[in-house]
Amino acid sequence: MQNLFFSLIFIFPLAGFFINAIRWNSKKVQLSGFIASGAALGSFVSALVLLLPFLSQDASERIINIYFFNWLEFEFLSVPFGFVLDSLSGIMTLVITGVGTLIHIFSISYMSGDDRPAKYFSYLNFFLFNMLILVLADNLLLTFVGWEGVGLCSYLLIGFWFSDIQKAKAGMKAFIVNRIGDAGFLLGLFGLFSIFGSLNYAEISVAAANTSPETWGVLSLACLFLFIGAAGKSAQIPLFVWLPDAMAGPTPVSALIHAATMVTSGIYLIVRLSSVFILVPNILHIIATVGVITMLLAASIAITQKDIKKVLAYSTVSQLGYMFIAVGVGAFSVAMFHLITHAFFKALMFLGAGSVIHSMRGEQNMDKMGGLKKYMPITYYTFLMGWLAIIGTPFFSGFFSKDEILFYSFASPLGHPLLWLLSVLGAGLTAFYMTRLMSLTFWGKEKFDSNVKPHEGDKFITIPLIILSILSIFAGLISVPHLISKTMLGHIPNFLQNTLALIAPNIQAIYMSPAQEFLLMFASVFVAGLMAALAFVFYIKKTSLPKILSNKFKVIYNLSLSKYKIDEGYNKIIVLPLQYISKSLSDMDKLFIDDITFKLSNFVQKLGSGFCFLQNGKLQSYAFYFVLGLGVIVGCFFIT
Amino acid sequence: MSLSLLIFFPLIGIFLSFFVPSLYGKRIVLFSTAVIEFLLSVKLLFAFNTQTAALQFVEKQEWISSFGISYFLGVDGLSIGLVLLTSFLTLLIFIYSWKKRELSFLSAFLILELALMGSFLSIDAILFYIFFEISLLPMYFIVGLWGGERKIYASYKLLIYTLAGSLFMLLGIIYMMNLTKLELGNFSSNLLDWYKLDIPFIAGTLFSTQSLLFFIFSIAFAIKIPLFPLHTWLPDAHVEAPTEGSMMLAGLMLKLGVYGFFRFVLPIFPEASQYWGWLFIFIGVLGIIYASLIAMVQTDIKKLIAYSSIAHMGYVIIGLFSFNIFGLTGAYYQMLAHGITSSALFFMVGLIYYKTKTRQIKDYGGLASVAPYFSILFFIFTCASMAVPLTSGFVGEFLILIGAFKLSPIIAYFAVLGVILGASYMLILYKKVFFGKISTLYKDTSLNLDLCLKEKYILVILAVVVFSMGIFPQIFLKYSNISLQHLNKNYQNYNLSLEQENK
Amino acid sequence: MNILFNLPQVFVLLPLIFLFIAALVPISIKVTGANLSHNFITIEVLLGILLSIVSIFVFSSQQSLILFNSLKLDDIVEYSAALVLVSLFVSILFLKNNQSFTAHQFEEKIFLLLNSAIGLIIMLWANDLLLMFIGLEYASLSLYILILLSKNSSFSKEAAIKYFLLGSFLSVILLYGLSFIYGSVGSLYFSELLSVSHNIFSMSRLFSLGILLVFAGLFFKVAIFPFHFWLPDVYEGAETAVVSFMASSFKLVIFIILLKLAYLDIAFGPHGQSLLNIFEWMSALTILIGSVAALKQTKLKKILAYSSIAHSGYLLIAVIVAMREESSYALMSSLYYLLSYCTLTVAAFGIVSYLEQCKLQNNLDKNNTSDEDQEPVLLVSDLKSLLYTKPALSVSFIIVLLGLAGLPPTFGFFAKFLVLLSALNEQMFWLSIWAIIGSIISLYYYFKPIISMCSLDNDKLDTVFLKKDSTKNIFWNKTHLFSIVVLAFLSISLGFFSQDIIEFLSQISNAFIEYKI
Repeated sequence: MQNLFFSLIFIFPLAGFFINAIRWNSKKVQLSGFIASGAALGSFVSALVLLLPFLSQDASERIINIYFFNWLEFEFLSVPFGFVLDSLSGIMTLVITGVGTLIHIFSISYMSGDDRPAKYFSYLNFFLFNMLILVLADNLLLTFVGWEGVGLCSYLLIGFWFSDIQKAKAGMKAFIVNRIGDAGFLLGLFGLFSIFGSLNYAEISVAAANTSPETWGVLSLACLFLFIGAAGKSAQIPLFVWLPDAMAGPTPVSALIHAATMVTSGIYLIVRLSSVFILVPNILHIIATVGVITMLLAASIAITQKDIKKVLAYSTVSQLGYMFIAVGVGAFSVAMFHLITHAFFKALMFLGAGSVIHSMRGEQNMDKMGGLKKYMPITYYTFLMGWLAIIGTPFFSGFFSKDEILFYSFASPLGHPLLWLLSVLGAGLTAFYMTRLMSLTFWGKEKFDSNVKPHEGDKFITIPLIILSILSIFAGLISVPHLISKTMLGHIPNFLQNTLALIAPNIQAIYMSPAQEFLLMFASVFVAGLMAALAFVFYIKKTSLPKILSNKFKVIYNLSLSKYKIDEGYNKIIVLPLQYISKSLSDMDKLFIDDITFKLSNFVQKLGSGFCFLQNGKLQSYAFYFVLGLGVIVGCFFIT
Repeated sequence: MSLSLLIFFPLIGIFLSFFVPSLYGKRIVLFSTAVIEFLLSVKLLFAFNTQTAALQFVEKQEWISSFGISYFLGVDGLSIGLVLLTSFLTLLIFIYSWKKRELSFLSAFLILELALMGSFLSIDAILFYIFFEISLLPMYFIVGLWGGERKIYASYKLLIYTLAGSLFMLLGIIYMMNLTKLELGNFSSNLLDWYKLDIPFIAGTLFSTQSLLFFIFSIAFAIKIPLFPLHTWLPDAHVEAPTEGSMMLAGLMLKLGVYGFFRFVLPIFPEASQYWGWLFIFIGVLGIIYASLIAMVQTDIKKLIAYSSIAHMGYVIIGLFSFNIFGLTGAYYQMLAHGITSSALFFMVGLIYYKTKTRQIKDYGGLASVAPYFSILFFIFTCASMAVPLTSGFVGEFLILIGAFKLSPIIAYFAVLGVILGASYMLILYKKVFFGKISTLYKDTSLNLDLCLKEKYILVILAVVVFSMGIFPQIFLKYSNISLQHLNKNYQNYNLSLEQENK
Repeated sequence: MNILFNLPQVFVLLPLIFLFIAALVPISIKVTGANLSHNFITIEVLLGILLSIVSIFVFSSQQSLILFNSLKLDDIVEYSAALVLVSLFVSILFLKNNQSFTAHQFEEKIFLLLNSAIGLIIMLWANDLLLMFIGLEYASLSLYILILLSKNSSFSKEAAIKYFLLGSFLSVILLYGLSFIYGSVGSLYFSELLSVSHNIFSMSRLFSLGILLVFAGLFFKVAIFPFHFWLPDVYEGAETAVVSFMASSFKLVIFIILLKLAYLDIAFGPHGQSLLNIFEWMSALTILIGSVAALKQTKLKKILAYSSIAHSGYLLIAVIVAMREESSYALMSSLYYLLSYCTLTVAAFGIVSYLEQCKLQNNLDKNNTSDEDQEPVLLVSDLKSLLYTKPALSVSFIIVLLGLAGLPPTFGFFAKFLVLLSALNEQMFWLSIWAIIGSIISLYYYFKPIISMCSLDNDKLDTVFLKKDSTKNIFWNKTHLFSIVVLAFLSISLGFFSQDIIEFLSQISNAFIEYKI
């Protein structure tokens, strides 16, 4: 019975993909939308059915394995098509299928104008299928299969409106940057295989348990490469350039792929291999520092962006930076907690932005929006919940998860007070640009011209928004930090931490008295509130202030507006030299290597014509050659 | 199930077609020859015993006994895959063009199939060499007579390059026969005797006999594969060859070179290949990066795909010389997978070239909106060529990379670059040809660019094969696992026993 | 001193006598004024040739020295004499179909042709080197006149004079060499030379010089490097059918003699090594010239001329191997090579003469002003899409060209393979590599006619040159075509029976070597 439901999780999205793929040029949005959302819902329900009994069992038996067939069969390496459903992958499946279903429903109305909805929904279902493979796989190679499949679907979906060459370019850029990450993933995979002799997670964690931590060596190199893979997929410093361009895709795609699910797979991978990463503290330090830098950089860019989706994209990059900080300091289940809450409120905000764009008929520039509060009440109030969650107002989900991360960044043996300080600064910046977004779109005076009549979306848009807003309010309760639960709300058990205790245990934090913890929490809440107020003042009360400040700090403002010229930099450092090298190589290939054969044949032709010259048909010359030849022969005979 | 029948059946087919009066009747006979040939090879596959590494369906008759040359045929795990690939691709070509092309074109392909079958099944060096050379003539005529504008130049280049290598191989074979005379008492060109020889090998110098012979044989096969410095004939040959010619050239002629490494170079010169292995791995890695970089700036689609097959073959060489079971199985599987994907890609380029008469990438654009089926199928084969998991390309490349990593991680670091570059030039091609605004070339929708029913069938079959090779590699590897392990395990004294003439 | 012939020895000479009578009959009848029809003459001559072939084998005697041991008959020599007569037979078939040949003085040309064959057979059977020289001169003289008469174009006259003057110059060199041999050894009898060369361990320098000059004289006839310049012009000038006889049988006979001389163990003498070096260099350069000079040629006959030079180079390799080693591989492989080379050359030149007749026919139809005997020069470009107008002829031409190039399924490949095998058996590496490079370069001009024959551009089909066969004497035309097809079939199928050929050849070469020791 378990096997049936387990395979149902996969069969639903795959069936949805095939049905929609077969009728790919049908114009009926509703029908294909229902098929796709039904498939996602079916997968969610079957996952739920499997996971409910987990609550009653105790930690050690919460695991279901399923084995379909053997993919690669060798003496030392056997890679089966095997899947495992334990609490970690269970939570991820629920998040993916849950948020996925809501986004499918949202897309039904969002894609109503499109001429190929069935193709869009088949791609979405195929994405779900690949994401489920990635999350539920029981060995590294099968995760890699899902990993690249997901990259492929994001390529297809970003470049969905392929008639516009810019969107196709964005899709290609996303795939190639992901491919760089995948190359790193592969090298990490080979490293782990050569050390532990197997790719199965269970076997790896067992083997990792009895290997001693090392400062630097082959294992650290393998983990570094795995981190590069994760950075490629979760858009960290070197490889984050593709995420902002990925906004070229439809907004529900950005919500599903580039906010809730795909970008988090990097964190899922590291949390899944937490038993290995614990052995290499240096790599964790690197992860933490990369996380901090990415968070600050992305936040600073988000402040000045004009396009609403770009702001949300950079905020996703910075929130991912937070998760990597959490992983970097060893707080794996906290990272999962932030991943879950972030999935809810970021998906909510992207869908909100989607409904704004939908009603403004594709207008994405915030300067042409404003005062939409009156026109779109539901979208406004749900977006408000998301806003409150992300800036970390107390008792909202964002507050609980971000506060945990800040606590562990300070208290964890791998953490550092400077790390905490920078994170708090990041939290402040987040509050600033999110409030700026709220004020520019919803509160300020209307800046859109008259013929644009913003209106509330139909029920397909509003229901997902409402559900997601409820989730982003109450999601925090699944893992209330011990401090608050003891003192205030009477011992709600830290549900998430307990369930993940076996698979991804947090590192043991240094003991801090409750007073100190309160102080930390208070500091971050204070900074966030201050920056939110500041932004409110900037963009609502004295709207002239941003212009004064921007031309006072002209250099910094332009730097941040132009995204620190990272894209142009990459172009100059990598893409152009690569093209130059390949052009010169192809010329070299044509002129040099190919030319050798020409030179050779010319030499032979010249030799031929040389002999023809001797063959001039005159008897006297022939006789002379004979005499000469004879003389040479006899001469040689006598000499030697 | 005699192998000679499998080899010489195309000749019988051609012979019979002379007696059929009507032209259409002749085409039917030729087409049915290709079909029956495929059925024969499938029958061979089912009768193949997968549990033994020994040579099966052995046929041995003395031919020139005074020099130990015998008509010696046998099939084992290494050649069964290629036999299937030959008959499968020829069948596909005949399905497409048995009505379109004239009779001499069709019979040239049947002779090519005969020669390829012969070289894959012959265990005698001279017999292999004869079939190896005969396979060159029909390819020369296909490129030379039905090719593009510079067909004469391209066909000469193809001929001279390959023959230069193979004539030196003839010298190598003859010297090996002399060696058998010295060691075993009489001339013998039988591979099983060659496996028994221990050829003197001095590690340091190039001039010990085994190193010299190793290089003679591997250069001859390297030209065929083609490997990095000797590859310039392939792009010209592909650009000028007709569609079916490119399919066979990319699908099978390159595999002849790789098969040569499997059958000749690795087992006969174990110490030399172990010693000089690093050189070929270096050439392989260099070839991958070099060909992928060049592929990125190509303006002609066929040239781009030709360079992509050079890059894929670079992987195969790395797999061959990684001396572990992963590398060998990866090389073998990549060889089969590349056969399918590159012939499919060339087939599709040929289709579109047949309608638009241009191969320059800049003339194309926005094909996806005009020809949806064509672009979906082309995307599937682009994924296979990019080695996206669950397609055939991934299994081969993954095994080769894991084998290279086992040999030494540095090789894997550079070889993995190929994975990235591979994705970039295929996607650049796909973007320029299929996305963006519809190009003026086929603005008027009168020109039906999309696939007709027959082309759709061929490509769907190929797509199914690509996916099944990606998802169920065990089915395809079942036949050659034992032989590859046999080759990998007893490396030094490799010999093949003969299975008793069963049935 | 038994001066009277005892009867059995005369029977051995019967083949020559039959040949001479066959040659004499047409010319004597012409002298009496009555002119016979050409058909009758040809049939009578062909019968005479067949008769002499049969008589060779009927009266073949084992290793007998006859006529005061001036002739020495053994299997090799009888087998090659038969081969000479067969190629003569086929060449006459080609000649009969040739209009300018049969136009006038047909009887004289036939007489000269047969006499040159007689001269060649005498050379073969001669045990006395002087008699070998006389045979050589006799054959060459009849050829000089034959070339003179063949085409009355000025070019053939010039070729004949060239051939005569240079030929006589080199035969003087040959005679000079013989005198040195006689001076140093005291006898010119081949059988005695064999025994002499064994015991005079320190062979005198004079003897080796003599051998060198004899070799040089013979090299002229087969166009080895320094002495090859005459060949392209003479082949161009002479009648193509005559050339097919000349190229095949002359080369066969002279290489048999070279092989006989090679087995005199000169190489083991003090000066042997220098002789070998000289010959190695000569063969290498011959191969080079044979393959390189033809690249620029457009005339088909010139291409075939240079290819025959290249093939002499390969044969010289076999001779060098024969000189160096004891075992009979070299002798067997060179006999095999000669057999394959003869079939291929006779077929190649037969095809060229057939095509020339078609071109002549086309010229006559177009403007029929050009005089009867003007021999059209066949260019490679004339062969445009021949495959589609004359399929049988072009397929056999492709097979013959592949044979000459030495590509697998054909007879030529096995021949080259055996020569290379024997060469590598003697560790002659650089010469075999040079042979391989030569054959790679020669691929280009072997494939030029092939590709132009097969390329079909339908719009220019009507301007294709050689459309119709010559309509003069249909019967002889058909036999000409039939013999070409038979030769082509042989040259592709004999490869598969090479085991029997090899056994036969090694049997007779072993017999020759035992006799020597």
